[in-house]
Amino acid sequence: MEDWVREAHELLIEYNFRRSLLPTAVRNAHLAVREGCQEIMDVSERAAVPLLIFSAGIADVLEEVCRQQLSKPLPDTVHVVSNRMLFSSISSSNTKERNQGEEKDKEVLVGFTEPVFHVFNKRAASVLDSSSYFHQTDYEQRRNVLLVGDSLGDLHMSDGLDAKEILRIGFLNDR
Amino acid sequence: MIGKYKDDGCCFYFLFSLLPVVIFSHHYSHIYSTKYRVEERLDEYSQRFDVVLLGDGDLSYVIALLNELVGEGEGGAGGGNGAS
Repeated sequence: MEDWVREAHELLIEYNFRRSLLPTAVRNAHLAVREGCQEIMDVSERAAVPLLIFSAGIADVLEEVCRQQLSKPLPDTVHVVSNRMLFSSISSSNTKERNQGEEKDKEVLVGFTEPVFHVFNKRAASVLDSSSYFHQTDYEQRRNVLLVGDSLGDLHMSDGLDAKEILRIGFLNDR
Repeated sequence: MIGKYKDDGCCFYFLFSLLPVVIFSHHYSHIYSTKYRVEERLDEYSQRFDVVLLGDGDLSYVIALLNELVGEGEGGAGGGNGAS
């Protein structure tokens, strides 16, 4: 599975994917957030509940979907655990003269962050040590988990958290 | 189990899969409907999940539960971040 994801990432790199293409690509992909998503973000922010979104896809895509379809930016309590794109600027000597749009157009995909996430390893344990998100305020003392997923693999998202109670909610659809 | 959450002052994490994003792709719907039928998976889901929500519904149940846990709904624990 990891090889498959790496090969998909390599293809994007090979075709010189530019950051500036992301908004249009997302807009044309017919994605939509589930009804009530904004309200969950709001509750997370108001009550200071850390909300982790796990995806075996690409964090930049997920965040762009949220940017386009939610009414507010993602709050600080939300953390996306997924594969993140690494861009490199093709620089020239006239950097100061370029506007921001032109800058973004020059940013080309050069890689992805490690570890690579796929459906079988998207779990908290994969990022516990590397992410500062888990070390802020009281997050490390939290012992209860409300887990929401739609596949059996999602049951492992809480692996690595020192959880005392886990309430698991599963969406089951014909798909 | 919700009582235990409340006793702990709602000091919890909320984990979400990519679930908030629904892919509206009619191109693949015929494949999904024949390959992964709800009836075939319901038993296993009921054993592994505490709550199984059928249908491609919204998040109203999850929101109501979350509100109750953080004290914004009926019978809530009061004071969302009990650890602070």
